[in-house]
Amino acid sequence: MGITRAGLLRGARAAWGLAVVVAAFGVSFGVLATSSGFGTLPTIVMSITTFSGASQFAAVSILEAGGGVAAAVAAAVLLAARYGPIGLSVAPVIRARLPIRFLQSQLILDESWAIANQGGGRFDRDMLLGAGALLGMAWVSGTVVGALGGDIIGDPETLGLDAAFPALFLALLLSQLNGRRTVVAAILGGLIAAALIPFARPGIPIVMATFACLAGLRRG
Amino acid sequence: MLVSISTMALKSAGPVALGGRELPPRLLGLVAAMAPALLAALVVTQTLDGGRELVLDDRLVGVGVAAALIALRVPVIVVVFAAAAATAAVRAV
Repeated sequence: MGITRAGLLRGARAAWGLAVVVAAFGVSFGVLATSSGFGTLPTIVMSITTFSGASQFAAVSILEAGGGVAAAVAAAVLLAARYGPIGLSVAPVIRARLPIRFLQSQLILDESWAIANQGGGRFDRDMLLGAGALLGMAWVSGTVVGALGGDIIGDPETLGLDAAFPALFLALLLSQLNGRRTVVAAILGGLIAAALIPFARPGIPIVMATFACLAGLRRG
Repeated sequence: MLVSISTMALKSAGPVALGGRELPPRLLGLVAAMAPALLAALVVTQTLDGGRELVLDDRLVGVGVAAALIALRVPVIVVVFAAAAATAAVRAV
């Protein structure tokens, strides 16, 4: 099965509104990174290669606060740890030669993964790639603008943009609750995350919540 | 650098290792239930996480508005921007 343009466009269409929000956060990341002593080029390269907003914000914030490289890397890795199970879930649809698989995997994001999710453990590969590519362009171009041009939009949180992400995930979650097992998994996952937030380092609550899928396995 | 390498490795581990092979049915069932668990965890952490403590702040208003609009079957894109607008409005007060 080749990648179809229609499929890519479907993914990009589903993600365009979010791309605006992601670009705004890209700008603020560019501003934060350059103002905390990162060079312009390293900042932009980091957005292209890491391409994981939460990990990048965490790493740069820790470095800025004098937390040391080890702490910065550890925090970023923990935040990215959820991509282990996420990557596994989409692995069946990422079919290509190894280097291509590796490149395509880089377009896996919380948002592109959620958009491509068809329920029942199935994913639309073209939507994943289309949404991921658009969001990637938004993130990187936002970073470039922030790193070169400075603070043109102010704090995205003033615009409430940080609430856009949970709103999207809630919409996608509710659209795929079908049957008792998904509802139980969602409630458990939410509870696990909430229970761990006060005790665990950022990133761990999300990874641990994925274990909620083990609930009802024997019956499933 | 290290951050980049590790996130790239984490993202590609599953697809590189499995290479498009189908998951065994049991594992597929797990993945099917993992999606709602992970989505719920993302909603919870991005709404309530106040840095090592649970906080009820302006984000909750936005997500509440989102929930109401979703119930009314409003398109997702409208839901997302309404959540941002509601949160911004409460913050501005």
